[in-house]
Amino acid sequence: MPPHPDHSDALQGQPTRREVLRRGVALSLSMTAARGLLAAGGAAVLTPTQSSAAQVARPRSKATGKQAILNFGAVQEPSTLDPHLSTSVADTMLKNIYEPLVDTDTDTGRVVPTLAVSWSVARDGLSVIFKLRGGVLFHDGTPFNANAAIVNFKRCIALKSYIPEAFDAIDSLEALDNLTLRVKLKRVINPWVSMLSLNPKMISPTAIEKQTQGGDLAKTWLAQNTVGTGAYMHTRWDRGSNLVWEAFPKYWRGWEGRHVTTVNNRIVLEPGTQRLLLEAGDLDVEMNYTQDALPALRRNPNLNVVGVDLPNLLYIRLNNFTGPTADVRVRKAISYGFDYSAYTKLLGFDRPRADMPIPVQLFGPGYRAVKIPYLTYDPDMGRKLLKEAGHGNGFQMNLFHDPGVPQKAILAEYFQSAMSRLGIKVKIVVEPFVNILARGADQQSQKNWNTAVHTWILYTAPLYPDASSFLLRMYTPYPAAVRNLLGYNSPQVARLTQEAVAQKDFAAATKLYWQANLQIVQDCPDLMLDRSIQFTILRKWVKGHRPHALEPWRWTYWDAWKEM
Amino acid sequence: MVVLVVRRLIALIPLLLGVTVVLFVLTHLLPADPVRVALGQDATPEQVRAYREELQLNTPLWQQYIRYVGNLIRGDFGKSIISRRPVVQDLRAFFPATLELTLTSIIFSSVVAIPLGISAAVNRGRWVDRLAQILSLFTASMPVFWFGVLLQIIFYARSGWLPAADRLDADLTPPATITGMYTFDSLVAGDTAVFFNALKHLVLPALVLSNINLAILARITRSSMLDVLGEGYVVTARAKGLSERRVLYRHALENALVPIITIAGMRFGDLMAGAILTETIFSWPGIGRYAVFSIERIDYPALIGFAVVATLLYALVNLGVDIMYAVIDPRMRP
Repeated sequence: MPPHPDHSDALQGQPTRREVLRRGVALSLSMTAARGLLAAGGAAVLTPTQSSAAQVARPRSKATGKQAILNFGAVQEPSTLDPHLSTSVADTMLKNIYEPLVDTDTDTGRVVPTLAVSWSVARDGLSVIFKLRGGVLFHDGTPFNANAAIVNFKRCIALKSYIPEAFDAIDSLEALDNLTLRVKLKRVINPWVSMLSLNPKMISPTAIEKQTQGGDLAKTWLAQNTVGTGAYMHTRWDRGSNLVWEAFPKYWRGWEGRHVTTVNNRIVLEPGTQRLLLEAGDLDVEMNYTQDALPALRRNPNLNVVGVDLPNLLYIRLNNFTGPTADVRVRKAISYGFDYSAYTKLLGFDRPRADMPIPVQLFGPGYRAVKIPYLTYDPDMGRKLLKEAGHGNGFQMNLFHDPGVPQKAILAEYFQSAMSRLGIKVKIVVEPFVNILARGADQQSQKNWNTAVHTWILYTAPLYPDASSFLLRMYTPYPAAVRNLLGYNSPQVARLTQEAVAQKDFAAATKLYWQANLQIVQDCPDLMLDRSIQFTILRKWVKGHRPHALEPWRWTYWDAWKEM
Repeated sequence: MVVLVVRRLIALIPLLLGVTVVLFVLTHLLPADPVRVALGQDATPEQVRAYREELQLNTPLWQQYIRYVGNLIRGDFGKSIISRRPVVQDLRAFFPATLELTLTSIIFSSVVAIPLGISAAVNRGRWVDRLAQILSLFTASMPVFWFGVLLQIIFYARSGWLPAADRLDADLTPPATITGMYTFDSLVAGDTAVFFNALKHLVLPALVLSNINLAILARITRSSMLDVLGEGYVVTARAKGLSERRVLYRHALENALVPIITIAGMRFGDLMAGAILTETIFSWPGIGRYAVFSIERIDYPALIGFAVVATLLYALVNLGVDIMYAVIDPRMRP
């Protein structure tokens, strides 16, 4: 399980630990005192780390006043600040506070060192040794070391944090010295290190110990307080309105150069209001836009619209368990009946077409994409296949999607009209996502055409940068594959996936993933439609931001600065 | 009076219990699993099972209900399934924002609508009456989402006179909590900068929320005053040579107030629980947004917590209205 070869140099790279200036102590202390007074009233949630943070100097920053403050239009309010329990898109914000051992690279999406400076995998693939970064401090002033990492691994195991299979595989954890951690695994998991880009994000063990109540591993406290190692500290939460994060002066990357030192994560959920605030300059960044607003936003001379092509795929999943769609000929007929260009015309904007069941970006370095033999629009062929399958007179089926995503509504209507040309009557059912999940999770009901979800519009994004992130969740049998609710079950794909995951070598794993990929295309369990493009709209005075190649909502505030 | 208050407060107990029973049963009948919502789309069945056990959701419903009510009696609304925070903390954070907005709105609409309604009644058929009618029709016909956006464009985007979102500018720190209402708390703290900023932030959402109230209150005041102005005691008062002002405000208005207070009280209760659209447009962190968020995620401890508070508030407002009846009209005293 070696790291990706094109990152070997990155793994050797030792970051320089910057000297932190020790000025502004008085200012920090007075701010802390003022916040303490407010906290007594409970208007805003303050972290106990305030006092420790206040004892160190404000970070060096050339930016002052408004230039030092980034007003970020958050997509959602985080439901919890506990990094081991967070799951929503808003929680990617937390990587500005908490850092994992390894992370995904902004530009390439590949795994790169963060709190680990390097790692090595034993020949048998069952032991991983991490060399940890020295001189890293938690926001409460305690040092990060191998024991701290072990506490965090154990907390993730106990809480069944994402991704549980990564933590289930751990046999033992051992601190070989202060900055060396050995993890022994029960079984080989090829993408194990990649999985660690999600968790554990490192929390101060002192804080966990101090704030644990009734054996809750500080879950209640960490829901609204933070003590990480990241560039920013959570200092105030005006519920439903704003999360204020201040620079951590002793951040290991340092504060040389230009950075913002305060971030207001403004909770403005209405896209129209967010746009007004952005255009007026009260917000610096917006990601909560509507598609129809993009042309006007692009024309605005004060704004930059930055898009990134993501490995997030839009599917129409077909029921593989039962009914007409259990027959591969019917699934192929549906595919032949879908005119992709007509659909994008109806959509009103171009989207890159899905390249294959697993986005090509996830295949790793050196991989060359092979053209997938797509079923092009051919309704005659579709009707022929339907006739062969004994459904020449068509049939009825339902199509489920969740509300609130205009593209899904357009797609549903197009699908309905396209299928009518094949003689298939489609009934569109709009239900909250959780309801659809609940229906699908009832696998007995799914096997009965009368009660089953027949087709389902679904977006899927990778959880970690590896092809297995898609295969394990989408194409192996449920419940192991939590998104495979409509019953795709190919023993060959399951075997190839398991073999690939158990490989010690990435190249060998990639080969197997590719074979699984081809088999899925043959089986046609879904209509694979398009990839997402995530846009970020920024004031032109915001500099330094690079959209993340893998995580659509990810923003590294430390990278950004303002030139006003 | 004390008897009335005590009796009404005792009657609240079965009402609140009824609300909790209905909501508890309904939320558990929904074909979706709040645990799955909380854990995200990719939760494994094992994760779901573990969290269900932690929340004791595998016990029979009646046991869960008894446990919930037992905690409720001790003032514990439980923990949110989604955020794992105590619901009471969330209610404390979100409720004052809505209360502040609703109070401002009801005060503003009463101050404008009642004199307008009186004036329309006194000048029946004249231009003032027509103006009041047009104004009522105009305000009642404007959808909240449209009116809100219109005001944002005019007063924020074009002129920059008033803020378009939130309770306070992002660079200001909220005042220390006494009531949670920023205007009141900043006044008590003597922080005029925060007070005026909070007041500015209140103007547009309060105006939008007042819109429909204004129409209803103006119409009800007009019709109630017209009824009363035709009564014999008003004619007698005029015949006694009392000034028109005294006749109107002392004799007529006092008797016309009962339906006005009734409607205002009901509207206040409605707005407390139903200001969601205004709160969304103006990014106002109120209880309505919290309730919708909880409904979307089937976070039933949060949802029931909201419903209990809303019911309590509605009942207390109605009790207040009853007390005001008794103050205004001695015949209505128990």
